[in-house]
Amino acid sequence: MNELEAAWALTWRDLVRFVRDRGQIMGAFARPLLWLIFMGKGLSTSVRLAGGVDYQHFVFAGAIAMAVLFGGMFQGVTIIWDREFGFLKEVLVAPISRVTIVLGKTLSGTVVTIVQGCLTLIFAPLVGLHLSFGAFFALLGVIAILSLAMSAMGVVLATRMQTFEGFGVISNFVIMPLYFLSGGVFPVERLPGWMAVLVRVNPVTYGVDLMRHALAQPSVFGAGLDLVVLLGFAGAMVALALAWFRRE
Amino acid sequence: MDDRLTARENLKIHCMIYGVPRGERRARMDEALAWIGLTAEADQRMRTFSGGMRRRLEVARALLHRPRVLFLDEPTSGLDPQTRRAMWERLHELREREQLTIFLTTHYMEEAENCDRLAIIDHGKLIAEGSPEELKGRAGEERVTLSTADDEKAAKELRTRFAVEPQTTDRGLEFAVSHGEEFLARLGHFPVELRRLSLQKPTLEDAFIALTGHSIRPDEASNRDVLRRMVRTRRRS
Repeated sequence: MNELEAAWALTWRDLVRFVRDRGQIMGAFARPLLWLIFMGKGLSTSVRLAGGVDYQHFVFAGAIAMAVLFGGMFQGVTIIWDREFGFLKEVLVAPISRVTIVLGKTLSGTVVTIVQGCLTLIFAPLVGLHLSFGAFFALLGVIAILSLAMSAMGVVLATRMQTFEGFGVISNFVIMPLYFLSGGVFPVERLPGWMAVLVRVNPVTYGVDLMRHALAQPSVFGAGLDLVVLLGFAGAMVALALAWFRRE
Repeated sequence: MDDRLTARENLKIHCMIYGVPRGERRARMDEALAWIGLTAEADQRMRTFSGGMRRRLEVARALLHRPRVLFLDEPTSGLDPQTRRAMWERLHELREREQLTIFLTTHYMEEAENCDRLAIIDHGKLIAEGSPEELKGRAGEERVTLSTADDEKAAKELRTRFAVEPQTTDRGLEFAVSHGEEFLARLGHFPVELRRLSLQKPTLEDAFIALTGHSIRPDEASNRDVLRRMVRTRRRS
C-alpha cells in the first residue's frame, strides 16, 4: 500500500512539473506540427508512395513515434537531474524499495509521454486524416506501450550517465537511429539488405507498423507479431531498468 | 527538495514516501510550516526561497514522519543569527517533547555546544568523547588574570593563601585554577585592592585544536603559548 502510494508520489511530482514547464508543453505541440506540416507537406509534393498513400498521412505514424521517442527518453533521463539536485538521494534513503522508485519514475514518464503522443493525434484532421473511434483507441494503446518502453529505456540510460549533457549524445545516437529506421519516415520494403536488417532489429519498427494497422495503411508485419514484439520491448526495458537501477 | 514544487507539495511528497497516515498529513504539514514560520509562503514555489528558508523546510520535512532519530549535517550553516537561535530552540523543544535523538555532524563549535555528548573525529578516528564541558576541561586549565593596586603583595598572598603560582605579565598576574567560578567567589576578602579581574575558560574550539593538534606551530614556541596567543587574538578581533 505504502509502496504504491510512494510510486504515485514520484509520478505525481513529475506530472506537476510537466504541467508547469511551459517550454516542454510548447515543444510537445511544436514537434508533431513541424513534422506533419513542414516535412509532411514538403515531401508529399514530390514523394509518391506505393499504394497511393499521401506522404502526409504516411508520416503521421512517424510523427507520433517521434513525439513518443523524444518524450519518453527525456522523461526517463530526468532521473539524472533528480540525482544532481539531490532529490534522488532523498528518495533513495526513504523506506521504499528501488523497484518502487523505478516503477514510479517509469510510470510518470509513461503518462507524460502518452499526453505528448496524444497531442499529435489532435492534429490528425489538420492533415486530412479522419480517425475512427476504434483507430483512436488502437493508436492510444500503441502510444501507451511505446511510451512505457521509451521511459524505461530513458531510466536505463540514466543509470549509465553522469550528467544531463549526455542527452545530446543519446538524442543523436539512440533516438535518431531508432526513429529513422522505424519505417515512420520512409517505407522500408525496398531498402538494401543491411538496412532492412537494422529496421527489423529496431523494436520501434513494430510499434510504427502496429500504428499503420490502426490507420488502415499498408503494413509490413502482422498485427499480432507487432504487438508481441512491442510488449516484449517494453517488458525488457522495464526489467533492465529495474536491474540496473539496483546499483544506483 | 524540488524547486519547481511549492513548499507544501514537497512536504506532501515526503508524507507519501514515508507513509505518514493520510488523515494526519494536513495537520502535520500545517504544524511543520507554522513551526518554521513558513505558513504564508507554503504555496510558493521553492525556486523563490532563500537558503535559510530551504534549510528550515528541510529540517521540518525530516520530522514529518516523527522519526526517533534525526540526522543533521551542519543544520544552521548559512542561517542568520536569529534563525539559528530559533532553530536550536525548536530542536531542543522537540527533543524533549518527542524523545527525539539528534545525531549531528558539524565543523561549527557553536552547533556542537548544543550536544549532550560530543565526539571528535580526526582523520577518520574517534579521538575524544564526552560532554562539551568535559572536552573543554581536557583542553587545558581555566586561567585567572587580575591586576591589583600592589601586584607584588597580591602575588605573595595568592601563593600562601590560595596555593596558586601567579606569573607577572603585561596584563597583571596570571595563573591557572581548576574551578574558576569557585575561585573567584573565594576572592571576596582579598586584602589587596583589585582593579581588574577576568576568568578565561577554554572554549570548545580550544579543545578541538588541542585534541586534533592541527594548528600551525612555530618551532620556538611551545604548544600552549601558541594556543594562548590564538585565543587572545580571537578575543580581540
